[in-house]
Amino acid sequence: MSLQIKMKHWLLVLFSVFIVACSSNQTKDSAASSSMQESSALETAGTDSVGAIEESSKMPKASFDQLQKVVYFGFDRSVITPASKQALDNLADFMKASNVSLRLEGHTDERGSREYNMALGERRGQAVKDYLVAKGVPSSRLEVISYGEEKPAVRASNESAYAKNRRVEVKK
Amino acid sequence: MKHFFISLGILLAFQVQAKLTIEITQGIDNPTPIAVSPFSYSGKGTLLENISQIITDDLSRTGMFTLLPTSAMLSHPDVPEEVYYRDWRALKQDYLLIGRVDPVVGELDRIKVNFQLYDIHRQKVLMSEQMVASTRGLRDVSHRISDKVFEKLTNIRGAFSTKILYVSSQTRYGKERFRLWVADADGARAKAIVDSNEPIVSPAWSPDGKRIAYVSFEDRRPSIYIQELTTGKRQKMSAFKGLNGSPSFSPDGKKLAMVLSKDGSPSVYVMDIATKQLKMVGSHRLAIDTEPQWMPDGKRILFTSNRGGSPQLYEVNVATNQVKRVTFDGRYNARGRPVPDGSGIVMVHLDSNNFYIARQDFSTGRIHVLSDTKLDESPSIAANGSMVMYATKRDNRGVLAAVSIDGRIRFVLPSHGEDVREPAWSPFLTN
Repeated sequence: MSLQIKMKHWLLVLFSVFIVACSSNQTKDSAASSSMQESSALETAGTDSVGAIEESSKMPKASFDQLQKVVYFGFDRSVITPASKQALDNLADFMKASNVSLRLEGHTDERGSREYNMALGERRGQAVKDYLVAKGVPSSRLEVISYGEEKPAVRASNESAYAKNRRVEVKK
Repeated sequence: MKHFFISLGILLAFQVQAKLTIEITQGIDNPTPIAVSPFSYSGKGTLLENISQIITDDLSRTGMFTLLPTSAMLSHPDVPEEVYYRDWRALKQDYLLIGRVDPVVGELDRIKVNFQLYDIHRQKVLMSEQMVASTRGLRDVSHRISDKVFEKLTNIRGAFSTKILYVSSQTRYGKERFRLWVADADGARAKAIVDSNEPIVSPAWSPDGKRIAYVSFEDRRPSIYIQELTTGKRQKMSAFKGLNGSPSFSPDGKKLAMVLSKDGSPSVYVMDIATKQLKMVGSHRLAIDTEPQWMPDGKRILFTSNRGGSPQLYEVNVATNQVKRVTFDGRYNARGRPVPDGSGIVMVHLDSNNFYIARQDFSTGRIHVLSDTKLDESPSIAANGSMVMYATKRDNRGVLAAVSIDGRIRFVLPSHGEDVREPAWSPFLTN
């Protein structure tokens, strides 16, 4: 019996290590394997994005994994900020050079009404889609899905968490 | 691997305990003193539920009554012959409820409950009734007695026999689990009816309480479903490109209002449930229109729109498509719910950077803030219009709370271990 309990503890510890490794990028992928793949390239916050943009712009033939795939927004806003434009230009180039179809998942922070946030999340996804289409990506290859406030990147009720939750995630 | 399954089993066992309990945070100034004497049971063994305790909890949760503790009683009468008014007057009680439970002779698992309600000052029996039920239906019997006592003493129909829907979410091993629950209005007998790894949102009741509608992201896209509560049978009502959200049954149960963005910006649509035919209502080409809710007359729909620059409530006449703005105070009013007597609406209202639940009266146009926490949302009104249940945050976790329609009584339903949200209070389920 006590051996079983010890074994359970070890399994839990092992499992926790595995989870920490998988979830360090703070995305909410349901499949553990794809979140492992993306963890190296994804940003953890909007403010760190400059490095990633420079890196990827030096490599015109960047792979999907190397692209910055999260775009952030202001409170109750769905306007693409200048800081996001370089990353979206890189994404547009990548899409035009391939025939990949992508999902644009719109998210909001937790403030305000849930169903209104569902619509706001869609507005954000739509803004990213409009930007990419304007850059020459066929709109048929982009799908906008809003999750509203249902899938926060950071589960906390403060300004810095809110800033990280107001986002569009680009996914395959 | 075997050990892994054992761990899972333990987690599931913890899960079963996750239910809601009630605590009152604020009451009214002069609650009515009432004593509920413990109901006796003449059968073998003990009953599965404590009827007088359930009634005591129901009445105290309204904040309108002070319940005399059992230990303070001088006697525990269960039949009229044992009631001495003098004793209860000495204990400063206005009313007394007594009752006894007896097995039904020759019928296994059936019981009859006899109960009497007394006016102590006027030395009068106000009510004397008998109910017959299955031993597994004791909570239903208890809530029905609460309904009768409450209506007798307040002239307001009791809503203790109603149910609530709510959504829970939890993260385990980096994987999220969303569940839709149905429970008694007091949080008891919670039962998960939808279980998914993707979000479940916007649960709503049909007017007869037999069907529910909700949005599920189980296909990695939102779809609106209608599900029968007793059979679990369900039908996908909409899965258009873009938003499929905020279902709301019409008062006759034949139509479903919803939000779709298939034609551009989010707009309110009315779907005929039998034919699935759609009609767009009150649309504004550039604005977000969402959160439709039928008004009690079945002719108008209340909805949220940012067409004026910020989210405000509007109503649209479904037949004429005429739109009228409803809220004017403040820069954020959303998710409106009409008060059943037609006197006003309850909504999410932004005031000094906090989101509260507020009531706006149609007669005065004034807004009264009802809640006192900061991230309050999803108000849902009890069928008798007496209380509003809503979602809020406590210790960084989603909990359900309720407030009386006048804002004087509040209580929180703490959850154990799970984030809960989006309460939807059922219509009256019994006649």
